[in-house]
Amino acid sequence: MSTLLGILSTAQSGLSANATGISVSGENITGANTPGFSRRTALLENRPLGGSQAGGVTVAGIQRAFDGFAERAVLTESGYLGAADARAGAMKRAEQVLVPGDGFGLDDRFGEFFAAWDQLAQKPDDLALRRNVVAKGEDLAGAFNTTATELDRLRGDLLADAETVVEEINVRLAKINSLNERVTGSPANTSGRAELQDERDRLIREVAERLSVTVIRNDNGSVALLSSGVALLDGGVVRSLSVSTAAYDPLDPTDPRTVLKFEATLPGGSPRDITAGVEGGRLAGLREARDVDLIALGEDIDQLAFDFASTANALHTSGQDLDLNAPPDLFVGGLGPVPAPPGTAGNLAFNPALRANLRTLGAATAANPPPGGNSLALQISALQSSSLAGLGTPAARVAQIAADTGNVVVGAEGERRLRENTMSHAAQLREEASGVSLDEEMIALTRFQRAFQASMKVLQTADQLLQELVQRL
Amino acid sequence: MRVTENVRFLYSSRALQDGASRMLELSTQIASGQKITKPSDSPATYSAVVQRSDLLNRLASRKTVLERSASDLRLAEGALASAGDLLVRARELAVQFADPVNGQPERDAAAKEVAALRQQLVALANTKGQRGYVFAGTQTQTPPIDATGAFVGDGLPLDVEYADGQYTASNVDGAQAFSAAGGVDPFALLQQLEADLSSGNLAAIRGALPSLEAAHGQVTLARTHAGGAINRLDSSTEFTAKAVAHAQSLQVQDKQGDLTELATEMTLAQSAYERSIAVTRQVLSVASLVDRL
Repeated sequence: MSTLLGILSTAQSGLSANATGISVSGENITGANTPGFSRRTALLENRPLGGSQAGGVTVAGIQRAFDGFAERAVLTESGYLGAADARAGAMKRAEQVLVPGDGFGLDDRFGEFFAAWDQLAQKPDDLALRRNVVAKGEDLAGAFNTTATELDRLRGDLLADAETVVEEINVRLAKINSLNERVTGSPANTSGRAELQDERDRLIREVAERLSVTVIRNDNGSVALLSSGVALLDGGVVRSLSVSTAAYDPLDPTDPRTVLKFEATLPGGSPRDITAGVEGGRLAGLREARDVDLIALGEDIDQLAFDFASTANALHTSGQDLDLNAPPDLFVGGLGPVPAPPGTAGNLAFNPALRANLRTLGAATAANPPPGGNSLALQISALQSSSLAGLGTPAARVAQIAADTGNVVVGAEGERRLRENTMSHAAQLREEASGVSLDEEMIALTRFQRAFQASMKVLQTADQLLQELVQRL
Repeated sequence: MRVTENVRFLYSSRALQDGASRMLELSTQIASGQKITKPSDSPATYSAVVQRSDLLNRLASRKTVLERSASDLRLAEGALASAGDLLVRARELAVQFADPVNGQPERDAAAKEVAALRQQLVALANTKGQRGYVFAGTQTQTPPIDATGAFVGDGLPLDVEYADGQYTASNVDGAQAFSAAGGVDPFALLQQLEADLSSGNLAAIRGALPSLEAAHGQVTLARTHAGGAINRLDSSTEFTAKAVAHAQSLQVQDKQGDLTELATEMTLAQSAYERSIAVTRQVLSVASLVDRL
């Protein structure tokens, strides 16, 4: 009698265990397309003999497929991809600033300015032609202003982008911290815990895409996140990340440029500067674009503005205006002389005194005097084909600046494509370890279904035997 | 290698994306006719396009300047030709009325004609072109010959750039043509001839003949210089036009690319995209155990 009851118990354990197996396969099938879902496996093991139990099977737990190496590769590549993507996006916007459209760039404004001087050289005392030179000079200075302003605006936008990304990271760090608590509080080897771990790993990947992090997985199931050697999250404590700006050149108080500064702060603690260690993730890409690429681009444009304005001013003031006087500077910087870089392009202006009195525009020299003398106009026009400060003609320098920016965009885009590929490989590696194969799940489903049906048969058989036994008593 | 559902579609999806992206890029280039629209399309080519665009602007501006300068020079040459004719006529009158066979009334009439010739010569020397008085040097807004027949211009050159860093005068030295700086002051000479004709001083009339020839010679010399300058400007204009055409051809080639090449690339991209679609369709249609069980 006790043996038959034992058979019933064994069959019941088979039903229960295989039903769990079917349930786990069902979870895998439904979660196959869920981002971050890791395949689970029901761990079946023999039920120990003893008492009224006669063997059977039990579910030791639900194992979550996880490959630490693949996960680390995904995190690393996410960081590289995030950095490359952010930098490429920023530099494409910079490229649009430099080349706002066919015929609207600095090179076009230079061409029009020199053409105006060519025309003035034909009739140096013509006031309409003088007005045209002034208008084209103002356009050229305006093009420098617009380029510098747009680059400044872009750098401001990138700071705002960095602030958004930092906020996104902080939100995720808080969620990961909360999940840490729930993971450690949930029983090991359960679907519930696996679900929490999936969600936590997905959030960690989202953090890694924004900021390179090192993940330390503790024995109790919690994780710690480090970046730049600083623990952003450890033992239930989260450091708040922040971004601000610092002086680009602390030794030069007149330099208005700034660079991004990232800090991690413990609650009630003092901030720790982690800027130097931000080498991966979108924050690194934004920093590279804003504080390296765009600063270099701005310096080139400032230097071009300075070299050109200084050369043109030196020539212009050496000539004679229509009243035989020495003409004033062609270009000024706001209310004063043309400022040395940085900030030259943004502050460059065509001398308003020249518009106020067109006769003060110089086109002649003492040796080739006004009103018909045109040698100064010809000299200024010849700047178009002269090397400025030995670095090339104005057009060549504009072309070089554009080509340099183009090369940065091409390089950043190439890096982004490369990282997309490596990220794809890392994702495949993770998928191979943790992803769901419907074929496998179909086989598992059939296997558990048949085992369930067989257990049911055992149960029915034991039940019949018991009934027959009872009837004969 | 475990093939999971996500892996199965990962590559097909990426291949489709890449193919679609390439096709969009090429179709945009073909439709717009612009292969290079921004520096990152090809930094080196973009740099060349910008510099060539600058060269084209410079050459176009130079060509316009050369044509206008040649126009003023032609005006000056025409004025000098007429001036030469006037001086020839003055010499003819001097030769004719140095002969005692003519009476004083005829010489008085000749004196009046010489006075008229002088006035015409003043008008010719004060010819205005697009840039002002063509014989005034840099004093383009002041008639170079004043009421007394004195030259008040400065004879300085008005240069024009005919090649990079190369300049030539685009005006005629009025001082050399119409003042004693050229050897003879034609206005003073004609004034004296008029007086000699009026006074019947036959010896003086005869004595003026070499000076009249010299005056004609200096005007002719100035005309020769003008002709040479016109030739120089014309040949520079022609050369500049050829340089513009050559640069434009290179510019079109760089900016628009080779349409045949683009069409071939488009065909290849289309073919690759269609292959990706076929492979994806195949992947999606492969039967799995889901269909069998």
